Amino acid sequence: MKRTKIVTGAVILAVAVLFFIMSFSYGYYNRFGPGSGFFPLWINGGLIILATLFIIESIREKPNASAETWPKSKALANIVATIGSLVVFSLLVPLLGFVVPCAIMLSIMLIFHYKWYFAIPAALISSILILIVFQSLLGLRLPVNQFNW
Amino acid sequence: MESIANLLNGFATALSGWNILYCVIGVTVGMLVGILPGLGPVTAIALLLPITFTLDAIPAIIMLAGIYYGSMYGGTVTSVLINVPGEAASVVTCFDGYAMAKQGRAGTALGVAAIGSFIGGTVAVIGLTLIGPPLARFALGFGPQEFFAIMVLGLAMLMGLIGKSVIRGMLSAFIGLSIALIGMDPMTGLLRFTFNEPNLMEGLDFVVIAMGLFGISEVMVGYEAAGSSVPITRISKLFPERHEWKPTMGAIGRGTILGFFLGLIPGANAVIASVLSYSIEKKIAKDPSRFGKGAIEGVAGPETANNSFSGAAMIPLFTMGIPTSPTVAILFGAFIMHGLTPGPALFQSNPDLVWGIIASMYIGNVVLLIFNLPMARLWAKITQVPESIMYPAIVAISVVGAYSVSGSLFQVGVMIISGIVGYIFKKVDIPLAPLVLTFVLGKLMESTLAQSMIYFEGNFLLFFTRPISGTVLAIAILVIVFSFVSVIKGKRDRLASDTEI
Repeated sequence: MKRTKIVTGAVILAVAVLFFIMSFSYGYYNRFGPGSGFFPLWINGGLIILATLFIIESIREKPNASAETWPKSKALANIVATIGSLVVFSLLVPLLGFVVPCAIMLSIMLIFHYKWYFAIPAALISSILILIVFQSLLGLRLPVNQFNW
Repeated sequence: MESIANLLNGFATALSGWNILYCVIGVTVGMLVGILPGLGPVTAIALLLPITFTLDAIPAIIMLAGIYYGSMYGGTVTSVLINVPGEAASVVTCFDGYAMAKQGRAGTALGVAAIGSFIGGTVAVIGLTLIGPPLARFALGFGPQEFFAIMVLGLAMLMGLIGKSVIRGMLSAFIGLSIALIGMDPMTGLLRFTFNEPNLMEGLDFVVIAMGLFGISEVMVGYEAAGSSVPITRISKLFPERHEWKPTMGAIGRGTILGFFLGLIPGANAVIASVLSYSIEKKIAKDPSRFGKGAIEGVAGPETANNSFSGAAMIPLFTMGIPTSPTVAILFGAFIMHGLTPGPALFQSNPDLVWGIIASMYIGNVVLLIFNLPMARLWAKITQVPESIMYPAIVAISVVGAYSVSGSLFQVGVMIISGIVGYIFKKVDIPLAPLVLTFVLGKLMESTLAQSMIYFEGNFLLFFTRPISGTVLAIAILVIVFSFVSVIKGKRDRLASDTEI
């Protein structure tokens, strides 16, 4: 986990430096008082210092100081499936509307735990129920196709 | 007297039409959230916030507040019956609650917790009724200088109290502030850090970020901890023995007072309330060795304290418009989403709303007492819901919620990225609570600071010439200094990793 901490710190540092540099273009002070760049400059300046301290703290940390570990086998597969299913959903929605991508998303998550002949129908029925409850009953906007599903 | 009359009007609002139904739905969902391990009040409120888009402000906030205080009741059930805290504030209840369950006294542990929770929760709402209006009137005299100072104090307390490292707490807070600045500058109208992306013109959406950081990341963490279900202990007699009433009521009284005062302090949280209550009970007990083996005070005190805390935490929100914990920050977001600004003017501009919510909290506590005393075993069965069904449901609700914020898949993308970031931050011990609080307060902090600097003609030191802002900022500086000193001396206790989540 030590390496992950250092990499995380480095990413935060890189973003903070980028935002810090961008802050200069917004104007530090105007004739009324602090400009649009005043607060971002101080905040991202502080963030640069804190990210650096975090990296130093992580480098100094003993190898086994954290109880956290990366997930293995089944848990890792579930986590990857969760993120993967969300990405698949986002890519398919513009083409297919809501119900089919949602059913595919839920199927990907359920297939690890249940037989396919249970997972796929359950995912499809759940997607239709979500459409009915959230769109028809609660009046929320869903990314439906031209057939309204 | 004025408060009593207003409260009666509030009861008329809370009991009218659909409001009472939304109150019951809120506390029921809160109970469920408290019971289901891995699903805390912050996650639940963030997930359900978009569903309230179509509701009026009063029923929406009545329901969301019900989830918050309802979850404090629910967390007890799993702590006592299966030794798994449903939410972070019930961790200490496991010590003696589960020990009591193993002795065949699960019913008594749940009964005492329900009575304590009811007393703590109700006293806190009475406090809100009595203290709220005068405090709001006092806060009406505050300028941007005072509000900025109080926000800084809240963040200093939070960074000082949460997590192993002050650096990581501050890092999290500064990340929240930095991403809050994305979008249009409210003072000048200039676009900042948008990279020409039209979806970023209005900034990142709080609801979407919260759903990702808490909902999606919680699913990912939950998959790691997924395990088999534990058989439920039998529940019988719900009330303590005659000789146990005196120590029980003493613990409830102390828990109520402790939780209430901690609720008023920006940066404290329900976990601190329950942990401190447990320590106090153990310290003043004639025989501390009983603790951990089924001491009734070890259940009564902490359970009372966390409920008293959650009621009292509404006071700074209602009177000053300052959220003091992550869950209250999400409620703050709910107010904003419904076009309301929490703060001292709310008591005057929207008395129906304020008193309706306060009255609903009295009703909600009564409903929760009924839910908990005779229906404990029924709720316990919910712990048997498998993660393989619960987590896909959370993901599906998150997707629907994120999309409905602005009808754009861009928000779903932001939620996915927030989820991955939240997961990594949990892995590397960066607490999420400061990030959420600063994100929700970022623009307000910037505008109050800018207004103050204009007033002070650019001299920051003049903050210390005003009695309230000067004192509050001085306390904030002391809190940060003491936090660093405690780290250097190695005396820093980890009260909670990432609380209320």
